[in-house]
Amino acid sequence: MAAHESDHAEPTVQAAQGYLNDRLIALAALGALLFHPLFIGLFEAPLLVMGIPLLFLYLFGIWVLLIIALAVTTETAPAATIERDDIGSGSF
Amino acid sequence: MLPGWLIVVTSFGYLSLLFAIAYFADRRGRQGHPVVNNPTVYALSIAVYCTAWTFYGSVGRAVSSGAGFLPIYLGPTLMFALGWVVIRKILRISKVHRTTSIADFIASRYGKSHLLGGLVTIIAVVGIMPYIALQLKAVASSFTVVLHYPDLSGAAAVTSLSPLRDTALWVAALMAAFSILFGTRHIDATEHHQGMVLAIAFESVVKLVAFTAVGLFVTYGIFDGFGDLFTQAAADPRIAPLLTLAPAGNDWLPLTGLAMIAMVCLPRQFQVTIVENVEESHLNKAIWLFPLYLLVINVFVLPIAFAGLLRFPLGTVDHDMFVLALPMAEASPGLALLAFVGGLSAATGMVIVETVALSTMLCNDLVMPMLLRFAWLHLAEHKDLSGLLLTIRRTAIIIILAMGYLFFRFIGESYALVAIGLMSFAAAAQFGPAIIGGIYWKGGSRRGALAGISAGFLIWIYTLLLPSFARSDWLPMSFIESGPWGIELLKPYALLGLTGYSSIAHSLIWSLFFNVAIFVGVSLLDRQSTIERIQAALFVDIFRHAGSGTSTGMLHGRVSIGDLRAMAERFLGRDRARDAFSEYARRRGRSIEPGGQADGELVQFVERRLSGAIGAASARVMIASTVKGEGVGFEEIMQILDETSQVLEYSRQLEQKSRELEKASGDLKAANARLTELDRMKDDFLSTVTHELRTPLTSIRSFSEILHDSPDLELGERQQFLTIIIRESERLTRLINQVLDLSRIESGRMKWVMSEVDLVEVVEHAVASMRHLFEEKQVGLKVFKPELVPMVRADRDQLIQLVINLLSNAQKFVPSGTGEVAVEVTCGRNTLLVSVADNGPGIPYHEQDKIFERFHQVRSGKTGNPLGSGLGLAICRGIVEHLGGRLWVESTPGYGATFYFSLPAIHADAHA
Amino acid sequence: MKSILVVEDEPNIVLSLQFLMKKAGFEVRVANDGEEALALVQDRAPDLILLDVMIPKRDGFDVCQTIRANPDWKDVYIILLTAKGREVDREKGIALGANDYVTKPFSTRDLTEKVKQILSGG
Repeated sequence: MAAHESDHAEPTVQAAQGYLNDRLIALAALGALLFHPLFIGLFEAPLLVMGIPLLFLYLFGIWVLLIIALAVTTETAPAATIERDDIGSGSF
Repeated sequence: MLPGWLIVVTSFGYLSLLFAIAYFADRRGRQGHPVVNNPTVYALSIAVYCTAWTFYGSVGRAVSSGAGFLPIYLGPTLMFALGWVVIRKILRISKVHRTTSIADFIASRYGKSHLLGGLVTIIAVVGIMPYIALQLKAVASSFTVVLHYPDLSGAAAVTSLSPLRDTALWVAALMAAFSILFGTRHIDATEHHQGMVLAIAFESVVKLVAFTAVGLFVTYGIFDGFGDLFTQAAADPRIAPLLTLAPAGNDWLPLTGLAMIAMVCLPRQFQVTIVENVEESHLNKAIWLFPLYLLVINVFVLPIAFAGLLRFPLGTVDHDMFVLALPMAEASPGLALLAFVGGLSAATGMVIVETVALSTMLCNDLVMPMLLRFAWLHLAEHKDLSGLLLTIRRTAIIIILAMGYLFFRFIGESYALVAIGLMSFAAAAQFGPAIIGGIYWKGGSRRGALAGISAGFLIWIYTLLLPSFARSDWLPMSFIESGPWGIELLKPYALLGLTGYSSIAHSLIWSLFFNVAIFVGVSLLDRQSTIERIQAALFVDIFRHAGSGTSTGMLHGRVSIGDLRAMAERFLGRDRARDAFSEYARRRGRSIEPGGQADGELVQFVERRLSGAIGAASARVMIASTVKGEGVGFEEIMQILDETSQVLEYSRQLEQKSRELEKASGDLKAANARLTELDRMKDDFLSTVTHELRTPLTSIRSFSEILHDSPDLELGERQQFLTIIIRESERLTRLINQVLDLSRIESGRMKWVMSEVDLVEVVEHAVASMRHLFEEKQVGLKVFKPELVPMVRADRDQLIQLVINLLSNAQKFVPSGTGEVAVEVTCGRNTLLVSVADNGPGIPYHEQDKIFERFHQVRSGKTGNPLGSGLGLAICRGIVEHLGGRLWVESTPGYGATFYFSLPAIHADAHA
Repeated sequence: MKSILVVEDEPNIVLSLQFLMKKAGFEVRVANDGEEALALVQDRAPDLILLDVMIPKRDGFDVCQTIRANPDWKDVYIILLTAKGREVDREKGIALGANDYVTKPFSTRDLTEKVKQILSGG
């Protein structure tokens, strides 16, 4: 059987996708860890940082960082999956 | 307090705007300028997750559990971090299989099980309908708050208003209209409802703006920023505990998990995230944009909660209504109106998407399968069921909203309704194992999914629904406090002694535990059907090999009906393929469009048809490579097809050859039979020839030996015996010559000396040579001939021999003395006819044809002795037929016989 | 004096057999077809029959079978004469009760010796 065309045509895209995949899973795992009650508990001190409770600062801070990491990861990934679905059957 | 008319006008003005936006988007879409083909719109539409329950309820939840409201939003954030892994896979599968709803997705994964689809639909409706009621209640409550503040005593009476004055009813009616107008535009539920999606995205913006505006107002208007607010809150002994994780209790992890699962399992989330997705790549942006939305809308939850607690005396204002009450209390009615509109948008967005999703499920996975099962409806015979489908969906929307409203009216104040928010999540979460297991584990079986979902749902009913009934006083409280029949282990909030969790977390833990355990256990013990295996493989291996979106990569797992049909045509032929497809369409009660995606059943159907043509193994390979992909592009499939076609063509040729061979062997058999017959005939012939040869030979030998052994014979006797020997020798010679002649004639090896022959001359010659024999036997011989006869083309000697044979034959049979033979030559139109008539005994009718056969001897009537070799007439007929004529006999037994032969006249031919 | 019946339709063969048998000292009667043969047997059973197979009306096999069907004629010795040399014909003849089978053309000496031996020994 003839080799799949995209095998040799777009190896970088596939590799990049694998890389993206791995990074996103790692971020999800990191997020799950950082949002774990045991981890959060470390920042439970009745302490106000800039007037904001440390716990809330931690939760929202991690949340913000996670979102930034997700944004950076996905937005810098190669535009790999350009798959247009059929918007109305006419354009298909 | 706001004037009622202003609230009503604003509300309906806002809803009119929604209609306008949806109409605009749909029209643009039809004109070919889709406005929803945009990742931001996609991410915002997913924010339908934030309902009125979020808009108002998060604050309430924060008041009771501090940061404990956050898992409901952290869960989706984590799920979207996994979006690339989980959601993208579901997205791809759904696009490939044209999934219309979550029920459809699960049913499709587990072998297109109607039972499973119906079960999921029922659970979804049971779990979600009260949630819709909750949204209507939120609208009604918020309306009352902005209308009556600060006199909130009327707020408790939202359910006792006359229906005509009830905002909730009007909102519900408008939502029904909206859902029908913009949610059921197409028959194909996978086609995108652009108007609805844009309206939902718009609503997400509205509710975010409204909530954030209130948050900013509270934080920076009422207080002096976050620092001031939190400092005051920390100083308040009622609030200080909320600054720790303690109020969230053990629920943090279970709720995070629940929210993660809900992201894919809630029908409305599945609708906007999966079904309404325009491009897979839009997910990339949603992965961070949607969590960002959640973050932003939650930033001010704690400040508003703390501000409300600080601002209002305990118990005067419902915690859930802080969002409205704070601006009202601070004399900012405009902001309160905005907050009201924000809450309205959150409620309506949820209601619209949820009713569309549920109506699709009800129609496709519950009503239609049942309708199609009733033969008397003759639905399957209808070609076009689109009208019926739309009617069912629209009716379903009206029924769902009507029931939601009735729920709200009659049990609106009960605990059951208030608690339904997370309970809905927990109900929907029961789909989680079947979905997640379904896309990663091929072993998950239909019965496993059915059993798992059923078990989880029953636990959900037992640990959440029934206790909520008890707390609404519809069941005795003892059910909760001491378990049914006083069995401690069965206490619904502490099943099997599990304590330390909230009722939601407790229920979730047990329901998912049994769900997963039974799903896995049953699946492991189960045997999947073929279609289950196919669907399992299609779902799990959706990304097999082709991760990119190239044109060939696109083909993995998706095959259009047209392509499938093209393939079928190649194997089955155009007519049979057409018949097969129309049969399939008739059975399924759907028309099949060539451009559409082939579903598993059609594929399996085609596979079965192909099996008939190319064998089961080949068909399996073809189907598997076509549908599953395995990285095989369409061109390659077609190439394989061509190769297979060639093989098929080859085998067809082989088949034909073998048919020819069969025919040949049939011919051979016939030939063999003929040969056997010929052999037998030859054997008979030889036997006869032998007999004919031995008879004279016997005489010759006998008399020779007698003469040899008897030297004393008398001269007369000796003379007689010698004469016999000579006669028999002549007979033998004649016989041998005749046998040779006949064999030459029959084999075509006779040398014919052809020339133009005068038939009269031939007859005269023959008569002359026989004259003396006739005179000897005293038989009269007469010749009749015309003056002038045309010539014939013949071998003269053979012709003379022919006439001599006939004369000799006649002479043998006529009686001596009175016998007479007449020869006559006559001219026909194109032929010459010669007749030899005798007045002998004639030939019995049954013998008249046989006399021309070889060795058929007519015996003399008197002595019974044979009068010839039996070859003469056979030779005669051979000669005549070779010369293009005919030889036959006419005879009446007892009155002589007349032999005729005809020959074509060349003279006549010349004239013609 | 022993009696022989010659059943044969070929006049020259009849003539030769008649000559041979008479010369050997037997009484000879001649039948030209099967019916005549049976009539002669009925009239007076011979000691031996020289029976040609290919005879008109009732063939040699038929005659042979008919004679054997009558126990009165069980001692009549039957020699079949045939110009057909096939083994099946021989077997058929023996199966129908013929005592011997002679193929044409036969040796006059051998046939005469055979007949003499049978009729003197019997």
